Amino acid sequence: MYILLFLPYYIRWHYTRAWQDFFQNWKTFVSFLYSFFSIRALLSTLFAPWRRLGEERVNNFDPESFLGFVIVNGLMRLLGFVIRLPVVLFGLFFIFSVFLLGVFLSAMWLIFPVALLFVFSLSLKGLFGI
Amino acid sequence: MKFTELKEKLSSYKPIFFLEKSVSHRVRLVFKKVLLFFLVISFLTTLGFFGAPTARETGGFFLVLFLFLMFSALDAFYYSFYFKKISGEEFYFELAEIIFKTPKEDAIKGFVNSVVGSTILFRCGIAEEDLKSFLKNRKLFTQTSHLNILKKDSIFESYIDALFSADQEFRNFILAHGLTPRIISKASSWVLGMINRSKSNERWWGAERLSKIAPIGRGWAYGVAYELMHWSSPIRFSPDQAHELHQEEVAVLEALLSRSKDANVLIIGEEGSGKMEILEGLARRILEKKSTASLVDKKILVVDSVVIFANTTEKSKFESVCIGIFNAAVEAGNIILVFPDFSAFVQGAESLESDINGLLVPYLTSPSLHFVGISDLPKYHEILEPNQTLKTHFETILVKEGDEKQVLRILEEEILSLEFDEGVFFTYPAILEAIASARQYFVEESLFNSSTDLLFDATAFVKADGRVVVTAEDILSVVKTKTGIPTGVIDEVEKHKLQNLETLLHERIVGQDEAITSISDALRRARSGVSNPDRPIGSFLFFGPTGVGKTETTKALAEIFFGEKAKILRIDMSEYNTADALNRLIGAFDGETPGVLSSMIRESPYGVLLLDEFEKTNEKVLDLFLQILDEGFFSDVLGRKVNARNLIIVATSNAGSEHIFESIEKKKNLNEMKEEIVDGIVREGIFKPELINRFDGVILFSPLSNTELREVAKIMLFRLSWRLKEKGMELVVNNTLLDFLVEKGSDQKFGVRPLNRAIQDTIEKKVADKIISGELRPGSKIEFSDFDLR
Repeated sequence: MYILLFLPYYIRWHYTRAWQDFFQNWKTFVSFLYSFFSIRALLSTLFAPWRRLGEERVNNFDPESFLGFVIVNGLMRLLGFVIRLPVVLFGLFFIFSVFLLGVFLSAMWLIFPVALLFVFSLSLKGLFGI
Repeated sequence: MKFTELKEKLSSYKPIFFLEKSVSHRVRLVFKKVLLFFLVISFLTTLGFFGAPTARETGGFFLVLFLFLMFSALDAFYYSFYFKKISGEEFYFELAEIIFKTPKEDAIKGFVNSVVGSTILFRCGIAEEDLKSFLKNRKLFTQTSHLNILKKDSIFESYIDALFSADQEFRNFILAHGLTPRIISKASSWVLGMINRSKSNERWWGAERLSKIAPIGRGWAYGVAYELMHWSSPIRFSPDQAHELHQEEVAVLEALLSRSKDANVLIIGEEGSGKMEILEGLARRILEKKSTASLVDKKILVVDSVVIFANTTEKSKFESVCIGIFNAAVEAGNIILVFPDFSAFVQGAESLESDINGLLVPYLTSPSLHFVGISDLPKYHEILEPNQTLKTHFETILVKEGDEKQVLRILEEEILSLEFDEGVFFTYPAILEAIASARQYFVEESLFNSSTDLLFDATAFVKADGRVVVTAEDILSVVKTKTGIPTGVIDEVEKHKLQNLETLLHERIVGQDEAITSISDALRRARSGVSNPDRPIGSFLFFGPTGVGKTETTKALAEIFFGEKAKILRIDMSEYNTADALNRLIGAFDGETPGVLSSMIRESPYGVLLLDEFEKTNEKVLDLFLQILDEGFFSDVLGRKVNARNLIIVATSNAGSEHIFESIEKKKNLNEMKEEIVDGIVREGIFKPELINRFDGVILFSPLSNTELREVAKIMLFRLSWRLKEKGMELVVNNTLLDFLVEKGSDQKFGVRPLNRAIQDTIEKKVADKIISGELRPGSKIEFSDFDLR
């Protein structure tokens, strides 16, 4: 009895407010991933030395220590870049995937009631051969 | 607002109300979990993990998939409506559920029978059987049309109030359980908040939940402070706490630490006022990315000064460790260093003869390192305040203790984890009682800490008793065990005592009706809970000549009301008239000499404090009592609170005795002359009027008449007779003896003192002589004649 009462409400919601909710959640996920993978912070410090490791620069010019400074700091920057870049790429990949998934799900949402009936019919066919 | 209007406003919840009626949310959640399990199994089966799938197995997979998708869609539908805001007001689906289910002819039934309604009442300590019996035995039914819903804090509370106002029977039922409509309203907000939070937590995809997941890679641009790992640890905090105990202070701390220079803060406050909670609040804001941009990646590390001092017994070692810590923190670039007892750190450094200013100042000005020092007030005044160099680099935040409302909000949240950990269930009145009791009986600790302690102790108490529900009575039992103060329901013996206090006191005190009535009234007020809990149980100033029963009244009161073992905390105030009197009472600054008054009250916080010869102490001490009488507590020299709220304070004084004698000689009514006599005492500068006004009662003791003296003599002789009886001898108390004593012991100036002396010098002496001579032996009887007494 009650199921019949709420069904019209559901159908109306499915094609109206549910879209708002859907896009809101989609946006939340994308911004979460952007923040979780610290994309902005990692990009802005992409070439910064890893964990601030490095040699201190000495003022009096000594070719040997200057070379040491350049090499060590260069290596630390490289290490920072090597670690950060995959995380940034991984994050971007996830964001892109969620974006694509969102497109796919929104398309699915459109046909969801029909798709649900289709899945149900598949189950009937499998179980009872109908 | 009428019921129908409210129903109309809530009509947008109808879709999920119908859904709930078909398949409830709880059932859907369980089904979804089961379906998810079968979905994985059937999916693997369909993929051929367990051999080639049959058509039925594939059909089974599609059936499970169909059901899972359907339930997921229904849940999305449910959450969408559940969290929908209606025209900006805080409506709840739970209220809509009650309203839609309420029959027109019985408004109470709809509320009591609803899941939320019965949960609220159960949380208030009302048993299910009581509710059923109430519903069954009601005589009148309130129609929904009779409800008048007045706008209040929340619409749910308004609705509950409307139910109480419309249905007297329901109101009486609630009141009979020791509850008030206000408690039910507050409990309803709490229960609804819990339901709402748990629904929010189900939505793991919600922005609020996702914001609490710590990001990766944010700290990679900062260094790792390896040196710091030995000497400090990250701040511990609960990321899920929704309310802050010190919201304003957290905001101030955030603003101060966000400055580009000298961003160092000293958090000072009394012991247990929640200083560390401010930093925990900041840590939550940083985690949730709500803090200012300059604090966004900061790490809060708490330095373990004890470990530092345990490992550095020399100045050079100490300084090198400190410099190592500070350098590591500067290099890391995102550290907020917290010193939980900054005063002790500075003091420890000074004891090693280290130049703490020279050590700290270069780092205090650094933009890459923030210091937060925490200190209690007395140590701040003693150690940090005089150090002007340090003071210029720190901003101070003075923490005020959280009030009852704030503490309640935090406890409402924390109680759930306590219930989960301990396997018990707290009623809402138990939480309220824990806060009220903490405020009244444990002022020396912070309200939050002592209320939490009470809840913990009550948990152990209930579990030992084999129960799971913690009630307000359990909290009061814990208070009684911890303090010895009678709390909770008044039993028959105590009831009898309270009702007959005047008669019981008169068994020992002759005359002095006014004093006895005032004291008895004060005690009844205190025990019934109508007196001001922020002041002592009662406070009285007894004026009168020597030997009229001032001290005896106090002793009788202590014994009758507080039991025979009750201690009277007696202080002869004439001993406290020197310059150091205040320090002798509350402790000396060296911290080694404890105060007489503070130690006394800490040891026996419940009973009678008798201040003899109150007028003879000095002004500073009188000012201390001004505070005690007003606020019910004072602070000792170390700043620790001493609770005097469970004492009856009686101060006695001979001041004004001459005026009393004068009035009696002129045959004037002492009560009518009271104002004049007290004014005289004030005029003479003995007591300030504000001190006299702080007492609950100023009582004049009149000199004893011969009839009263005769009664006192009788009481004294009966005491002697009782002592002799224990030795097997009998003393006959006859008129001859009484006439003799009244004649010999009658001196209005000294009250019963001469009478006492007459008994000692004459009667007791004669009895002693007879015992020594062998004339009086066990079994013999002694009766004095006129001749014996000459």
